Amino acid sequence: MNTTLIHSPKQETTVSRPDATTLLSVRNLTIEAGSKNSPLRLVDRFSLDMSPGDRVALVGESGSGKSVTARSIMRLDPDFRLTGSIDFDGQDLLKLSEKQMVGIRGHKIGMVFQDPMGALNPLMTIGDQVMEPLRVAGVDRAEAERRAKSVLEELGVANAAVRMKAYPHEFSGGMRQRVVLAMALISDPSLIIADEPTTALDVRVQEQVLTLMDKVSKERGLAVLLITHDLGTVAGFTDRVAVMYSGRKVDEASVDTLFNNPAHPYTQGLLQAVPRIDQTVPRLLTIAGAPPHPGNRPTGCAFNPRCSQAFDLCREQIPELRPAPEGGMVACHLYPAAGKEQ
Amino acid sequence: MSLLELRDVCKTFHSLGREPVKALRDVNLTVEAGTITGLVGESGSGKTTIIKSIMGLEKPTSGTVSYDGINIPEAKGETLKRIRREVQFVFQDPTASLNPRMTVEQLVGEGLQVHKLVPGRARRRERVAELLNMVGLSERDLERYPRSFSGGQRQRIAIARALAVGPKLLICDEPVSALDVSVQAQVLNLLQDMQEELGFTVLFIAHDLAVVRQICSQVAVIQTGQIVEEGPSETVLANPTHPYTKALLAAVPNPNPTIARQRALERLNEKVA
Repeated sequence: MNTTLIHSPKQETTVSRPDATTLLSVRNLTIEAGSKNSPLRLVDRFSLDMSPGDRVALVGESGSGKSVTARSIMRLDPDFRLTGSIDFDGQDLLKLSEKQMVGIRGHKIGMVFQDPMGALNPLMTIGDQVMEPLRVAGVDRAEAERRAKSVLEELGVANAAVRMKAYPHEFSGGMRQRVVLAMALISDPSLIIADEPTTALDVRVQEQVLTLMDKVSKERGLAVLLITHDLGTVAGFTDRVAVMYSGRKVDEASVDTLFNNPAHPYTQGLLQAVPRIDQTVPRLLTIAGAPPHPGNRPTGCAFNPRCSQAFDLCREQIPELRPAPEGGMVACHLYPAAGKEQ
Repeated sequence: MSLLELRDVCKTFHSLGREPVKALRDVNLTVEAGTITGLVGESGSGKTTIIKSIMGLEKPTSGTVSYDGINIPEAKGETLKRIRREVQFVFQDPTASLNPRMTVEQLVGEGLQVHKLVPGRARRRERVAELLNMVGLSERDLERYPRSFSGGQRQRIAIARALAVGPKLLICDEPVSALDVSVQAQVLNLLQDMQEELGFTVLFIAHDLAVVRQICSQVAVIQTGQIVEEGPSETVLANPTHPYTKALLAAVPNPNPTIARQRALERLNEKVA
């Protein structure tokens, strides 16, 4: 086992707003897969705080652990071993029974996945699927139908009463994603976890769905955790961004700080590597190499082999999250702790 | 000089009991030799039908698809063989386009063998090693299988495979949209470098306008089977004239929080109004 992954006694911190009440508080969430003898650590001591109505983006590339983190907040994968705590609405989700979790999933926390066709049952009508969370909770059919119609209308599905009798294949990609969103919203959750909700959609439909999520979350005071690899969609939608790399949160800041004064070299690199529609450069700047496999992380900072500013310490010690000079938190040895820490 | 030319191409798909689908409607598209030309459109716009007609897999209902003066659907024998060598493809998902049971040497060397370009196994191996070096891999990778590479590396293998036979025209179908952001830029730069070095022509099919703007000199925009706007990409993407191009551009997310928020607000107000 890689010795650098051993728990440090220090608690990971997160950007929190002390004045606001907390809706979701993830503390030192560690996710392991594989056998007990040779565990694969997918996520290492992840912490995040969200207040009611907060819109936070969790950004990372494939294999960074962002989707695993999102799924684990809902405890969707029974094979993963989760440690740490996930406080939601006054209770630790990791301590609940599977039965109690059923009352959380789709009720208090709504979930929207990337591929709407995969999230919908092709043999069930749209109406039955949107109603399902309510029916499971024991709401009678007439009432469930009424609420399904109202939430579909809220999401701009015209002629909702008729279309509730249709099947998923009769809907376009954008419409299907509205249905998935309706399923997530019908129980009036206080938090929505959206995992790449617009990635499979065409650019114009992508914009429509984002605008819709924007509208609904503002009107309902709904907190949204948006999981994405696309920094472009993050900029207009969220207040705060957390960046994950190889299973750890490496950067977290307000959306303005993150885009204008990115602290972590990885965040800087990501922002430069994305081609922009408002400017062309003779040559795109790249980050050399590729993200490491979770079973084969380098010693020290996982980003060090790809980092142009890496020095000896980066190859020896995993940097802890510390306050960044421009605000937010960063896990990088370029920003030594203020005071006598370390 | 134009290398690839589509003239008044129509393609209609018939199916029993349904309205015929007009996938392409009088498509005129010219790809000039030595350029990287972008073809932009949403799903269902006809991009795939165009690619299939260039591959000779779909015969247009009417019109001509010609490569270097040869009408592709009518090509046979030696002529067809020549087209098969000179026109190469790089697809979106390298995991699907590379045979998992072939080594990198076999994958990249297959075209050399089929077209009898480099005789002898040892010399082929040498050539494959050269190609791997060119795309940023090494001769150490010859014996390895696609599964032991990352997505970006697999796409490099696919590019090496396409370039092995010395193509004049490279058709890239969304070559970076399945890749991670940090790797996407590497592959785009590689394509650009190879094109400058070897001087081949590229038809670059993409939905990401920012990527197109970055690497294409020319661009054509296709909507429901019709080319609605074309020209130098700087002009088309900076000053679009067709409403569809404008709509596509307006929907591209802007990675500047101030502008993005402003636009999000405008869209919300539009909705309400």
